[in-house]
Amino acid sequence: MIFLKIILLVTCLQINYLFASDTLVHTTPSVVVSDSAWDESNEKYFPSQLIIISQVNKVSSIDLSEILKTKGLYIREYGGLGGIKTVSIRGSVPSHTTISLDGFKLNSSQNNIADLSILPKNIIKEASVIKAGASLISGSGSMAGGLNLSTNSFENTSVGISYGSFGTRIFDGIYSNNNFLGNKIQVFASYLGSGGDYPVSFQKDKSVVDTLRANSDFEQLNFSLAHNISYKNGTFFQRIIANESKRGSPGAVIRNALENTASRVNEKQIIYLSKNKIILDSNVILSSGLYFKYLNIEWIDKKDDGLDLGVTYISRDIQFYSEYSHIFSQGSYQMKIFLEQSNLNAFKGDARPYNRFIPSFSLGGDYEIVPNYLSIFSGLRLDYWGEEIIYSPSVNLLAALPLSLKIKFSISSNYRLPGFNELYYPNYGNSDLSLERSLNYSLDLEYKINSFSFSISPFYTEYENLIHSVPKDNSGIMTAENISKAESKGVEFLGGYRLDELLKIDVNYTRLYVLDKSGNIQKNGKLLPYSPKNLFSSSLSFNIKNFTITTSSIYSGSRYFLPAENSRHLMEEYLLVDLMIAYNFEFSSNSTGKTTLGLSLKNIMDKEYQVIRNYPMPKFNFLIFLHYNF
Amino acid sequence: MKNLNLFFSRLLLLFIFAFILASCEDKIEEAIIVDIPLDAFVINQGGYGLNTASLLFLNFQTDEVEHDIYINANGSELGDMANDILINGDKIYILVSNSGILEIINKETYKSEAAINLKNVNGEFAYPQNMEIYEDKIYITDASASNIIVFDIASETVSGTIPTGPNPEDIEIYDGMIYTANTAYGNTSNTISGNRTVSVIDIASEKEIKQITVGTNTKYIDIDEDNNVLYVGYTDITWEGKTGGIKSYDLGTYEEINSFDVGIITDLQVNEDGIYFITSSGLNKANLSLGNSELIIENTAEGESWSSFNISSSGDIWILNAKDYTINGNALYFENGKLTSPSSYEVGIAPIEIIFK
Repeated sequence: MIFLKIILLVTCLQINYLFASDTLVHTTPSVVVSDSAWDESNEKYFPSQLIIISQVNKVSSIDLSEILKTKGLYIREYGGLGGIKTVSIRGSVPSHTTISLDGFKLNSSQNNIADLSILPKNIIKEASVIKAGASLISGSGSMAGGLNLSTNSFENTSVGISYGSFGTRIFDGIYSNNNFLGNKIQVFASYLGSGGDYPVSFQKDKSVVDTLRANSDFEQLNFSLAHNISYKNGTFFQRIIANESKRGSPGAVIRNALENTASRVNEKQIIYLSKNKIILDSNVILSSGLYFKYLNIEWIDKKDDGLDLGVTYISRDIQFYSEYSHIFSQGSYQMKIFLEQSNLNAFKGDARPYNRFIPSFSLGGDYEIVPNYLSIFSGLRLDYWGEEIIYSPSVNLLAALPLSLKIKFSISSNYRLPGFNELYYPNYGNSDLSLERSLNYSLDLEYKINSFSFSISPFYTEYENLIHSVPKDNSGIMTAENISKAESKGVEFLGGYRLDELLKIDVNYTRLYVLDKSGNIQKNGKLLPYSPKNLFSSSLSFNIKNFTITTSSIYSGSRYFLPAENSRHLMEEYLLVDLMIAYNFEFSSNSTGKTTLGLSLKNIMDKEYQVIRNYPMPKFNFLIFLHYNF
Repeated sequence: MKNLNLFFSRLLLLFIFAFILASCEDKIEEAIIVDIPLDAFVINQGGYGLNTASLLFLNFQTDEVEHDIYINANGSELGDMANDILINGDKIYILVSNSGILEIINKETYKSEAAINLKNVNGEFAYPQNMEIYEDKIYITDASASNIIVFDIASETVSGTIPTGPNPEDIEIYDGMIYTANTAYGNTSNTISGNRTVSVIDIASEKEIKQITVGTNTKYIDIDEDNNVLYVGYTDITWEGKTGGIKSYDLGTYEEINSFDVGIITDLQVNEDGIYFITSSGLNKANLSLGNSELIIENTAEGESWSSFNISSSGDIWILNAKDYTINGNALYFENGKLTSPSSYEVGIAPIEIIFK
C-alpha cells in the first residue's frame, strides 16, 4: 500500500510538473519518448533485430504472432487463434524471454510467460528483439533475450474488415489525430472472432479419421486509447488497453479422443502505462514511467464425472521507474530506480494472496573509447528479492570498422525469479527455490553495402540452477527443484536486400544446439525438448504498380518432445509457405484515402504439422481483407 | 582275458563317468531353470497427453528387452496413458485410460485383435483404470463415473455396468465379491456420496452391498485370502499436505482390524509373509498385523520415483522405477533373497505394471 501511495505521489508530481510548464509547445517534439524502459539508444550495443510492422503486415494477418514468425522469430503455439503463443529466442524456453509493451514487462509473475494472443496487433508500431541476455534492461526473465513492442505512433486512421477460414472475422478501426487541442491522440477498437474448428486427423479405435478441432473458438474485444503531448522540454505519453476474450481451451489430440472439449478460458485485462521524459538542461534527462496491469483469468473445466477443475486467478502488477541520464561529450551514464509489485489471488480452495515486491537499482553508461570507432556500454543492475541482492552485470563493445563493418561483443549475467506457481502452487510449489541464472556471450558481425545487409552472430549461453519438475515422493505428483543446467550455442545468419520500396528480401537462418547439462546420465548432452537444430525463415515482397505481393516461408527442423533424444519422441520438420496479394486503389479521384483489398493464403502447401506434440496446427487457410486508410 | 577285463573295466569306468556327468548336467539344468525368472510384459503409461503409452517384453531367454512391441506389430500408437494389463489364454488385455480403450492383442504376435471403445454409464467417454478377470468376464473400474464396466470375454462386448463409490481405481475379486477402491480423485469433500470408501459388490446380483469407510483417496487394495483380511492403502494428497497409510478389515464383519500410518504409499501387495508397499524411501514390508514395518529395499536415487512392483511366486521381486516420468525408466530385478545389486532393464516412459508371461 505504501508502495502504491509512493507511485501515485510520484505520478502526480510527474503530471504536475508537466502541466506546470509555463509554455506548452505543440510542435514537433524536441525529445522522443523512448520505447524501452531503458533508453533505446543502448539497444544498439546488443545483438538485436528491429521489426517494422507495416500497415500491410497488420491487415493481412490475423494476430501479432503471425507477423512476428515470418520475420524470423520462433513462436511456440498450440494451434488456432485461441492457443497460447509465446516467443522463443535462440531456442530458449518462453519463460527465458521477456515480452514488453513500450518497455514494460508483460510476463506473468504466476508462470513467467506472456501470451502474444491477447495483444492487439493494430496498435503495434514496431518490435525490437534483443537476442542476448538482457536482465540489465528488463530484470527477471531476460535470460535469453527480450522482445519489446512499441505502440507510440499516431499516424494511422483506418477501418478494416476481414473474413477468413474457420469462420474468422475481424472488424477494426483506429483513429489518430496529431493535433487535437495540441495533443496527439489515438483511439482503437477491434473485434476478432473465429469458430476455430479447423480440420484435424486422429486415430479412432483402429483407423485414422478426419474430424474438426473441437472447442477451438475465440472471441476478443479490444479497446485502446493513447495520448501524447509535447512541451517545451519534454514529452508525456500514456496508453490504456482494455480487452476481453473468451476462448475454448482444447487439449491434446490423442488416440480415440480430442481432449478438453469443454474447458474454457475467459480473460479480462486492463493495462495502463505512462512515460514522461523531461530535459532539464542540454545534458540531463529525467524520465519516469508507470505501468499497471489487471488480469482476471477464469478457467472453466468441468469434467463429465462432475470433477470441477475450474479456477479463477486475479493478478495485479504495478511497475514504476525513474531514470536520470547525463550526457557528456564522449558518452553518457544513466541511473535508474525500478519498483515492481506483483499480486496474485487464486480462488480454488486457497484464497491466499501472493505478493512480491522487487525494488531495483541500475547504473550504466556508454563511452566512446576511440571516437567514431570503438564504444563500450556497461552496466550493473541490483534487484532486491527477499533477503537476496541479485547482480546483473553486462558489458558490451561496439566497433565500427571501415567498409561498413560493425562488430558487437556482449557478455552478460542474467536471471529469472521463480514464478508464483513454482513457489506456492499446492503440492507442487517449493518455497525454497532460488533463482535461475544465465551467462550469455554473443558476437555480432554486421556488414552493409549498398542495398545489401548481412550479419553473422555466434552465441553461447550457459544456464544454471534451472527449475525443473521432479517427483518429490512416490505419489506421482511433481515438485519444482533447482537442479537443471543447460547450454545454448549456435550461430545466426541474417541477410537482407532493399530496392527502395520495390523489392524487399529478408532471410534468417539459425543453427543451434540447446543441450541438457544436468549431469543426468540419460539426458546429459542431449537436446532439450522442443529445440530444433535448424530454423529458417524468409520473406520476399515486391510492389508492382498498385499491387503488393509477399511470399514468406518458415522452416523448423525436427525436434524432440521429451528429453534424452529417444527416436520415438522425434517430431517431424516442417516447411510452411504463405502468399499475400494486396491491391491498393482509390475509390474516386476526389478521395484522399487509400483502399487495400487483399487475399492472404497461409500454409499454401497444405502441410500437416505440429509445433507442440499432439496439438495439430491449421492446414491451408485464407484471409480476405478490405481496409480503408483515411 | 586280461585285455577283456581291461576293456570291461574301462567300459565300466566310462559308464560311471558318463553317469556322473549326466547327473551333473541334470543338476546344472535344474539350477538354470531355477535361476531364470519368468518372461514378463511391462506397460508404460507414457506422458500425459503425449499418446506414448507402450508395451515391451522382457525376454529372459535371450536377456533382451523388446521395446515398443505394440507399435512395431501394428504400425500405430497404443494410445494415451496405459494403466493395466492382464493375460488370458492367448490374449493380452491392456487398458489405455486416457484413450478410453480396452486393447486386445495376440500374446505371441502382438497384433491388435480388437480395440473396445469403453463408454461409461452415461454413454460418455470412460476413464478405465484397473481390471480383474473372473470366470468369463473382465471387470473394469471406470473413474469417469462411479461404476464398473463389465466386459464379456467371449463376445468381446460390454455387457453392463455396476454402480460403485466415486471414481474407483484399484479392484480385487475374492469369494464372489468385487472390491473397488473409490478415490473420489482425492477430494476431501464430505458431500460426495461414498467418499473415502471401498465398495463391496456381490457378483451374482451385480449390486453394491456395502461401503467400507477408509480414508481420503482410498487407492490400493489387496486381500489376504488365508486370513480373510482386506488391506487398503490411502494417500491423502490435499492442498494442505500429504498423509496416508494402510488399514486392514475383517472380510466377515467388515470391521477395521488395524491401522498403520506410513505416509504416502504407492502400490500394495499382500503375501503370506507380509504386506509390501512402496514409499519414497523404497520397498517396505509390514507384518500382517500392521504392527511394524521395515525398509527392505532402499531407493537411493534422489529424484527418482518407484511406481509399482510385483513379487513372483518364486519370491523374486520386480520394481518399476519411473524416474522423473520424462525419460525411460527401468525395471529392477531382485532375485529371491538377494536384496542388493539388482539386474536393471531399461523400460519406457512411466512404467506402471509388470506381468509375467
